[in-house]
Amino acid sequence: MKRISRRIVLLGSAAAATASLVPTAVTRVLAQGTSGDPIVIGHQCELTGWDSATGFWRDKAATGLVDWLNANGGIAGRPVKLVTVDTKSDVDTGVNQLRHLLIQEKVDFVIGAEISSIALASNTIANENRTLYMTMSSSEATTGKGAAVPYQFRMTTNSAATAAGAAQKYVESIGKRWATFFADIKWGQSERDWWQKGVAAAGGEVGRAIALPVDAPDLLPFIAQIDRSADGIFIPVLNALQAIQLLRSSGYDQQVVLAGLSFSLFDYRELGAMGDGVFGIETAPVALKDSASGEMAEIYKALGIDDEGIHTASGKAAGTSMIMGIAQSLGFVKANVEASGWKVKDDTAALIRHAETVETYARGPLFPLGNVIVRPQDHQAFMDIYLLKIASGTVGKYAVAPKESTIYPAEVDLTKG
Amino acid sequence: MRDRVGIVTALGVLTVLCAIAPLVGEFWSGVLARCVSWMFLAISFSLAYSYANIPSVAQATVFGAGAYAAVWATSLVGGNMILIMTAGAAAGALIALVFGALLLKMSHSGAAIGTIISAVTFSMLGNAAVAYTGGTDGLPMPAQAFHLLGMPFAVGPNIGMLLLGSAVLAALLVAFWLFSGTRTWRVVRAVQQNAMRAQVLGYNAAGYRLAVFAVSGCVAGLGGALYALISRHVAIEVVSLSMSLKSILWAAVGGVTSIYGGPIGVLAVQLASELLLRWTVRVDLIIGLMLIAVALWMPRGVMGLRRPRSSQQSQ
Repeated sequence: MKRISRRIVLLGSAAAATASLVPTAVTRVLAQGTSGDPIVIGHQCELTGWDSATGFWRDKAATGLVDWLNANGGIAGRPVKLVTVDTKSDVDTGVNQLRHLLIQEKVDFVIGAEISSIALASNTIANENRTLYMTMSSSEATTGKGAAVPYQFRMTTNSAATAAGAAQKYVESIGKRWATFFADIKWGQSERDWWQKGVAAAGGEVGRAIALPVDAPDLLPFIAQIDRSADGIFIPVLNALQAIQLLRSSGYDQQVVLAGLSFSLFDYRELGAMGDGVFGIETAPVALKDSASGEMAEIYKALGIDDEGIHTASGKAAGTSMIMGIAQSLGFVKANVEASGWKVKDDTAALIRHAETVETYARGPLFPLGNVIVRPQDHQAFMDIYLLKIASGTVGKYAVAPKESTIYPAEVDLTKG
Repeated sequence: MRDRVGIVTALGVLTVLCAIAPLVGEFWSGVLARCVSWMFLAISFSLAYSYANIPSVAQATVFGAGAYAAVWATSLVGGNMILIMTAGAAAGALIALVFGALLLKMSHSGAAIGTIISAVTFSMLGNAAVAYTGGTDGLPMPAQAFHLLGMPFAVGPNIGMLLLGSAVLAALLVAFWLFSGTRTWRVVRAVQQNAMRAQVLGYNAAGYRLAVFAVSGCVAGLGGALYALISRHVAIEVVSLSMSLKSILWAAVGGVTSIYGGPIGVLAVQLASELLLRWTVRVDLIIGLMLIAVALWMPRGVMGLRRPRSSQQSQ
């Protein structure tokens, strides 16, 4: 038998490594009807690692919508160049990648990470660099006391807003007694607390909340502690798919509400028949018929998503909340660059001062589901929240919580300098 | 017993890092500064594994304790960097003392499993104790007027922190090199090679191992404090099991039996990762292949290359 030599193994390894080389700092400029220097937007995205399921959608959305922007006049007539970097879902890598965008790529604006620890460590750096950071984190702390910075805006929703908006509707339709099964991490605890407040404000009550420790190998012992007499179960856990399967197979037939933006973490169709009666809280519906929006149809077309919300190339159900976050962040940049007369990065302070005077972003191509309001005090956007429900294997619109119902008190006032 | 080649190599590496920092620019200076803080972690693993005979998979827990202690200390003592680094080192030593006292009651493999359980447990506790750790969101380093020996000092991923970290690490390595020529160190080596024989000869083997493990914790905690000052934000990820595994990889690449190998291992792995990230999202695959190659053909890491295997075996 032929002996495998060290050289062969090394050559094989080198070949495998070479085969895996695909560009990660992807830069895209497609300019039709645009002129001048490109406006450079950095995208700090979870392309790999534990949060890559949601990063997949942010990457698809940013890439597709920048192409769409360039095909439709760019921003202020200038082409847009997108530079995407991978955070690996890791704080140190994410921060290094942000510094790469700021220092080496010299980007004009950044669409930030979704993972709160990366976002919180990054927004300070972006602020020092005087670069506008459009955070994608859904932790309300990102725009709260001690973390909010002038050079950061959030054009997606957060835990506080989704709980405030959704709890009222779900208490009315499902019942007053609730149980919570939450991931024992900052996000899960935050969702638990805001849900409890929302349910209490709606006249309901949350009984015992069951904590799922991080990295717990088996969910069943924790699921078995959930109150069986509750009308509904609220679930902010990262492995929601497994949690629902175990709940159903353990005889829990209550209505289940997943925490905000959970349908971007997994494809709801993987639940099969167990998915029936599962609710979600998102910033956009999945099927196009539920939005009745020509602008949303245009976005789906640009991203290769069919009318049922299925991404044609990958076969996955669209993570619409991620897509909306990116669309609205790009929409914010476009609107404020054009209205404030922004030309170069030194103009960003003036752009922010202008943005703080803009209360409403009217429905349009990058705000496809209606007006979005931005609170100047903490730079937080509020939008209608879509309450979705899985029935007969498809997810559809159950109700809409108006943006006004999602507003919670601001902890800071950045307008005071 | 003193390893002249090792100390010269390690100091040479640190000198080169500091010399090239002004040339490579702000971004790479920050990357190198962070690497220097991780060198403490790699060295702490080598100390624990090769000299205390404790295969610790929880060194990142100790490193993280130092990082959090630095953040908490900053709130209490302000921007005095000496006090902040002392707090980190003390926290690391204390945690290692507690860990070590428990681990020494276990067998070699039992201790390895014990450290894994400790790492996971501390990660879970850190995630749950959001009020103290910030959980997954983490804690920012409080804004302070930082100063070192009365001089204002800018913390963050910058050349200043790279120079400071390198200076502290160089002092530590020189101190270790000097100490490695003493009689006490010969006893440490004797205990490491055969604890029972050393015990029969009248030495307190457990005491020596515990002391070395506490020193490894002190080194990790000091590195954690520097990491906090460089990153200015500490999240619970820093105490994770995967961070501990990184420290093992760094030490393995540099040479786990030599504390001088840690800096080389960190640089080799992290700089390769940083460069590969510009080209591919499959960095971990390539680093994994690199580590397999190291395990197959450089089992003693980079530091093991300097002498023929026969002489290494006799060490």
